[in-house]
Amino acid sequence: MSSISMSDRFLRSWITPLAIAAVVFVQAFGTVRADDSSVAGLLDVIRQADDPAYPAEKIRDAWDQLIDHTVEVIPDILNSIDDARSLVTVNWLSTALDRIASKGRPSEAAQVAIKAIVEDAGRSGYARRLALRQMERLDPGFRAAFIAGRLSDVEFGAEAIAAHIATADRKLGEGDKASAIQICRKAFAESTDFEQAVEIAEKLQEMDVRVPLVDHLGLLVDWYLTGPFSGKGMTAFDVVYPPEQEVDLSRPVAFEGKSYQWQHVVLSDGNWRFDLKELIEDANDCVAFAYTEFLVAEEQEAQLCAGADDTLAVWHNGQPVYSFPHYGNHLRADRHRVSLRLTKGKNTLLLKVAEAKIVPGRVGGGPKKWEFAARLVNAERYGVAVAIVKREE
Amino acid sequence: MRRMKHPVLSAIGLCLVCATSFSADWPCWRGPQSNGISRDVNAPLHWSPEHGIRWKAEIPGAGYCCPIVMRGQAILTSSTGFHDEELHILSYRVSDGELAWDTRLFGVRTARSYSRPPRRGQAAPSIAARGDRIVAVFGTGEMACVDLEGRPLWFRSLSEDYGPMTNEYGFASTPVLDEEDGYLLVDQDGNSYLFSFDLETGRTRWQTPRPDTGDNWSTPALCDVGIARLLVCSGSEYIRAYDAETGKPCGKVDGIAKLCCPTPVVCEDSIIVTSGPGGNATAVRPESMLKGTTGEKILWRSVRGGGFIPSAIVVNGLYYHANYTGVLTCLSASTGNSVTQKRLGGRAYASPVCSGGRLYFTDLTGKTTVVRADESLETLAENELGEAVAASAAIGDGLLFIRGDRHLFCIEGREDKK
Repeated sequence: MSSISMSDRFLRSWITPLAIAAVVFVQAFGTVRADDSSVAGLLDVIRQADDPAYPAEKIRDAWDQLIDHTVEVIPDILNSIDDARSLVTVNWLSTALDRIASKGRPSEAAQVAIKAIVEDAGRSGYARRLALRQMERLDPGFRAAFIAGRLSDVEFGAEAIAAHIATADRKLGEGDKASAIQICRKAFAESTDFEQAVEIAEKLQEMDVRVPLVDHLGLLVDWYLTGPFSGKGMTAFDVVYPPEQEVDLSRPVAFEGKSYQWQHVVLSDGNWRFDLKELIEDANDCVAFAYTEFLVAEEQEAQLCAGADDTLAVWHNGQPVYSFPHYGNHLRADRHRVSLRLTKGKNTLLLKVAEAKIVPGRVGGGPKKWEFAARLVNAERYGVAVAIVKREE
Repeated sequence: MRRMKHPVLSAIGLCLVCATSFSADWPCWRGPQSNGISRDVNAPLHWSPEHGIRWKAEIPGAGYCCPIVMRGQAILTSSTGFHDEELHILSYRVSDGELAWDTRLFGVRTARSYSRPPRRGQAAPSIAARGDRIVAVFGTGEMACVDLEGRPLWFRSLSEDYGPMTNEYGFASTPVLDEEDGYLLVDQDGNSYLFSFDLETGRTRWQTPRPDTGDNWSTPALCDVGIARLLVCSGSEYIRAYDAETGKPCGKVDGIAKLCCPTPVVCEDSIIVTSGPGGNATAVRPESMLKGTTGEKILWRSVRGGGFIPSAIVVNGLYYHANYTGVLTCLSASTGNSVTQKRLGGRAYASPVCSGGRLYFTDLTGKTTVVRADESLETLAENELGEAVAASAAIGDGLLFIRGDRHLFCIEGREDKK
């Protein structure tokens, strides 16, 4: 009796401090598994990855526990991705989902939930893509059928257009030109990607059908050009040239004792690329300016999407809004994206495009082209309707 | 202090680190000794699409990432999806080519950048392993550290941390892993930087901006100089060393080409930097890279050894570089004097590797020319693969691993030709 009581006292004297120490240790170092091992609790921990300072080992611990769950948790994980603010969090969740998905087929109810996420354009694109991956796994062929019907889908639209282009090619190969034209027209109307729109327009042109590419993409094909000014050993962005201070199209530009005319160039037949070597001069280590004036019906947000070989600077209504002074580039349409607030009525744009210097003896690479392209798009990425200000010439 | 500063202790540390990868492994870009030379001396010599291929495994999507070989796995990255926004870290069993695991990430959707075939996607950088940690980085700026079963240990998003990845031709630099740390060079028009991360947690230890530096694709070389460990970076017309411990800029040498893809080669008494197009090979004194921008830094410079995409390799005192038009140049690594030249054939992106005194040059058509690594440049074999190749080969477990446009090839060689 006495010995029991002694050991009881002994245990009591140690258990309480040990328990307190364990709690303190857990709180301080967090080395045990997540406090809440429910799916919701684990997802809460993983979502902490939004915070770069949150310890990765805690997230990994929750991840380890999460992947022990069954495929029924897939909709919960997909829902959780909607709330993720960081791609780091998305990747923790998506890798867990992939591990869980390999365990088998979810219930019908879970499949319905997954499909609903794929179809909901208001959901996170990552959640929808992961859900689509699952639907394809569960129902091979689902992806192609789903994509084909999503021409105006913000997440899958470009893929749908690519699928339409492939279908049109097939129809044309089968000799069904009418169907090919119809499919291309439908895809063109929804296309906002520059390359896709151009590709479809060219396909249609081959089938003797013209579409309004310039208006559709908001291409700016009416500019006044002047140059070539000396590039000053590729330091043109450190030099202020006269057009940067004032544009007066009625008289030549005077610079370092020379006179440079403004010439009016309007591209036609779907051309969108201003080849300055052809339009101005086959020069190098040089600078050209392009200027245009246009009217818009109302004040609006827009984006100037431009490409240039080599450098690009932009002024909107006389104010500098963009500068990319790096040489050694090719023209990629839409590479440079500049947000603009267009004013109601007249707007002006001035572009400065410099060309690199040819290095004697250099083999490969080097300046070959000197060109630019530009367009104006709205928030939906369709072309902004502009009216070019015509001048007497 | 994170790293042993004493040279002897440092050397012991390096030996211990090396011991964490098996001798038959190829744990990173440029191999186990970071110089393209395999510890295996019996890599296969002859093969063809029909003979000598142990297996070929389909790779989903695109990429130039060269494979690594770790503990019986061949591991590489690729990207899939319409925008190449789905990123993969893939592991194939060396024994039979079966896909062991595929860890999939999402990347930031970026504009489609310029790319010639073979398809680069967002998987141009190679991956690196240290012990049981594999670090992958993608053109989107996503980084992942996974274990040898593909389970994630940490993720990062460089575009979220430091701004968008803007390299017009696609980001391609490979992580360099040290004892406890990793390093990554991000050279791009507008926002270039070098940073160090903790291999355990992925967190940044230091980040150093590289102003006036544009698009480059080179991977830095680690180099011990006395008690200092330097990261030697090339690009935008200069070579710059950084203290690996602090990220502080050290010595600088001008006079290389603007665009740099090759990884500098660290030799016993020099660091050789290859640059192009229209560039040169420049050998600098390692100790001179500790500080300053002037002084006697350059040992030699040769326009014959310059070139654009593939890295160079130094074997037994000779510098070999096949420029991407297919001309192989051999120079003395100590003097830069021209030894000989030879036309190999087609254009190449892949960097050469070496096994047992044989150099392997793979061109874009997939043809590998095996050349004796001496002044003779004797062609020992010409092997077709039947598939376009941009990635550099890896040698592990006595096998040659070549990533083609659509398949990973495990080559054991033809018995009848051995």
